[in-house]
Amino acid sequence: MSHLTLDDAATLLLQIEAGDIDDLGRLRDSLMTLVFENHVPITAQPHVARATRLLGTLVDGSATEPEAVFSDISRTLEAAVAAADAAAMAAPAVHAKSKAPAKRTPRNTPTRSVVIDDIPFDAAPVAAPLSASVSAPVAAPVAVPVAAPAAAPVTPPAAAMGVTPIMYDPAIDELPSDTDLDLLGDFITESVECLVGAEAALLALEADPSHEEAINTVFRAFHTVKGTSAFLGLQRIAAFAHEAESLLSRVRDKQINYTRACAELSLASSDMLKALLDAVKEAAADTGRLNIPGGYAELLHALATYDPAHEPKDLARVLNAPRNEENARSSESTIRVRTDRLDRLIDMVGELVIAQTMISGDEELDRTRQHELVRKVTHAGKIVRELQDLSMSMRMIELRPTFQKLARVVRDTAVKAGKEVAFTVTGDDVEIDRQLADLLGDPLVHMVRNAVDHGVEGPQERIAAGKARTGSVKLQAYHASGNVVVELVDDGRGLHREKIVAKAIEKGLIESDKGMSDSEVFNLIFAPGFSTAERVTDISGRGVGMDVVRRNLELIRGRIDISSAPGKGTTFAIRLPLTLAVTDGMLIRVGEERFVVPTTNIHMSFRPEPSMLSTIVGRGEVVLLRGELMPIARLHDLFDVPNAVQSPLEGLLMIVGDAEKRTALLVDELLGQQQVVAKTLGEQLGKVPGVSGGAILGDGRVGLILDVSETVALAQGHGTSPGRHAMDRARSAAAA
Amino acid sequence: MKFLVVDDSATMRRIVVNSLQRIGFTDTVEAGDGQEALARFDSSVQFVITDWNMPNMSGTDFTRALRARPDGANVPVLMVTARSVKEDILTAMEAGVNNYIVKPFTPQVLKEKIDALLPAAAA
Repeated sequence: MSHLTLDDAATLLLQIEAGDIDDLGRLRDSLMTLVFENHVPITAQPHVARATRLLGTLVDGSATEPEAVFSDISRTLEAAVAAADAAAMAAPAVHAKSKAPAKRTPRNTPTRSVVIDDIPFDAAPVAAPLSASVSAPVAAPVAVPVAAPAAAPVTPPAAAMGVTPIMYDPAIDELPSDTDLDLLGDFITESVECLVGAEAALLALEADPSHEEAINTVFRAFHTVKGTSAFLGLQRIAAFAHEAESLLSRVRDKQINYTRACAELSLASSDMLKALLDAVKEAAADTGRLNIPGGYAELLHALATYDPAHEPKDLARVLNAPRNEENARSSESTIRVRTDRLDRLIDMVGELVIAQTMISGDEELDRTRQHELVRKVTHAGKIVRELQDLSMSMRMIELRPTFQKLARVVRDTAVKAGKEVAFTVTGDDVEIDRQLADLLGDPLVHMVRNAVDHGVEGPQERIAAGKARTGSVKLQAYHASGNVVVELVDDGRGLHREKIVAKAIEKGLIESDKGMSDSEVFNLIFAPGFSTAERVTDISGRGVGMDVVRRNLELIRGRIDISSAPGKGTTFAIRLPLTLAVTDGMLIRVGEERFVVPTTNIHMSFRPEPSMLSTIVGRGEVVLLRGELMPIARLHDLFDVPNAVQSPLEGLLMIVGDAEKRTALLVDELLGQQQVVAKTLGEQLGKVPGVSGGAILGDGRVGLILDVSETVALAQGHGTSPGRHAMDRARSAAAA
Repeated sequence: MKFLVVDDSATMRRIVVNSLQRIGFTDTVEAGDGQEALARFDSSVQFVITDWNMPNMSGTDFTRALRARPDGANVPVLMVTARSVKEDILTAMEAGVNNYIVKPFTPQVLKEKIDALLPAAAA
């Protein structure tokens, strides 16, 4: 058994000519073994690794200045020896200790020596001076690198290290039987997060193909998916992620450019991985059998054989292979608490707030002289409110993932429609209730598609109109008076009043546009069955859509407004509450009844002048405000409330209503704005028309929360008004 | 013996920690990137297992920074990687990484890698 020590290596180097590739190669291999088998102290190892790598550059001829590299190696090895000596000095007892587990003698040989009998080291000429010059403080076994058969093949380092190439068997289509479902769940959640991030980065990359951080983000996403899926035995995913990662690593290492085809492939890969993850999720819940998404084999092949010089001709076919569109709809899931538990917690906090309000609003408390008690109740109230804020914030997530999906929608729609569109996003760090973010997703997708498909003109049309060739679609979110506003702004052709009017008349929605303001006309596009697209594309113009958008937004108490200028573009502004659990409401009084009107629904309140009021045949009572004629709805009539103000001149008119028709509600007075915890009225009661829920007010009594669009519908004669009886039942249900 | 497990993937950290438990090492701390790892590291940590490619601070940058600290100069660092080209690994070793393990691995292979590094750590 013969050993090479670090000292030996340093000495050997002195005797090798810088140009003697064979000897340098052998020294490199010996050092390689030394360093990979950890026969050097930790503090010396970086030096040895460096020397080994530098030797490699001499051996393969990649070193530009061999002499300089040679002396660098020599200095590095000296530093290694010094570090090893220092380590040996610092731990003199080490040798006895490290010899103790004798079963693995070769590995536990004293510091800085390595068994080299399996390394052919044909350096006989230097052997003699070598042994003489060894002066290490360790009694190192003298290296006797003699008599190895010169013809013996050099042991490939990889084989020596026991490195096995990663092998995937793409034929395995079942989850491994020992799958840890919990771990699998973590894996899926995390992988989807990675891929959502990767998708955003891929789009950024398309705008700036040299964006290195974006390349790294995508690479890392594929890499992480590959690594973890391999552990879980998910061969299909690992194999696919491996190819996707390889493509990106070629981009990263600047071997290939990030071309259009490359972008398409990367995006398709991200989609495919998401589809595979969904398949895993299904398999785990079901039979364990993986349902491989369509197009898998083709895409895998396209990735593996991608050559920028010969871009695959059938790329389009590969990319259009049937895929499940649902897969693109991954949602933010950083909340790792089970959401049903979170919801339950928030419900409980809501109950607590109500209970606390009832205590602090108790009349006994007003009368008591026990100031200490009042102080304690106030203190408890403060804590409860903080707890409420906290529990609300737990549901809040950023709009970023919702917006990120849209970047993809813009891109895909633009490609299909032959448009050039720059998509910019601001305010994606604005937070909103998770449930709202989920429900906002679909309407936004639809609106963004419309903006690209119908709003923005094609490049030629834009140039002809004297505009920049590339259209702009902006999505911006910000806070405004307790609401979140999401605006979608395009610089396209704008809404065409005449076209909309003609279409609306054709569809029988209106008889004429006489007396209709622009905003009223624009709002017609939200009417069911309305579509102005001149041709039906497979992207957006199916005639359903904007009505669904508005309905979905109303479900989450949102309001949508349109403004548009012909040739300049269109802006859709969606106004949303921060959360559904708490309502910012205006407390109003009608007779002895009190209602809460969500502030998002209120445009303004005012006391009318007599000149503003009139009665029109067929439309009833109306008020004229700044040229806009609005019907008046008497809340006391709709909800059968006695002793209320009868004349609008003595009460107030509150302008409410979404887009289509604004309505003025007659109320007695405004009692002030407050946050209320919305309670639904319970299943058994059924729906009370015009009422969305109840809230316990400060004095412990129940105020009913108005459902404004229903109330407006009631006023227009749709549906039956709830009688006093239904109102009483609603109140007791909310209080229960 | 206390292990510091560094990986940006929570799933990977869990896999490594589970593997460590299977071979009898139950004392672990985790970090999601190099910066967090530097903050979590102290002299009670006796073994570091780190991923290579991580956002904010990579495994090699982390190891280099660790080696510059008096309490981190001698702790064994094992790198988890999908790369097995030895020239690549050498660059990691130059940064102070002591050995590497290729994903995916079994707990047994992990044990061998750890055992191989312990005598060096004792030196």
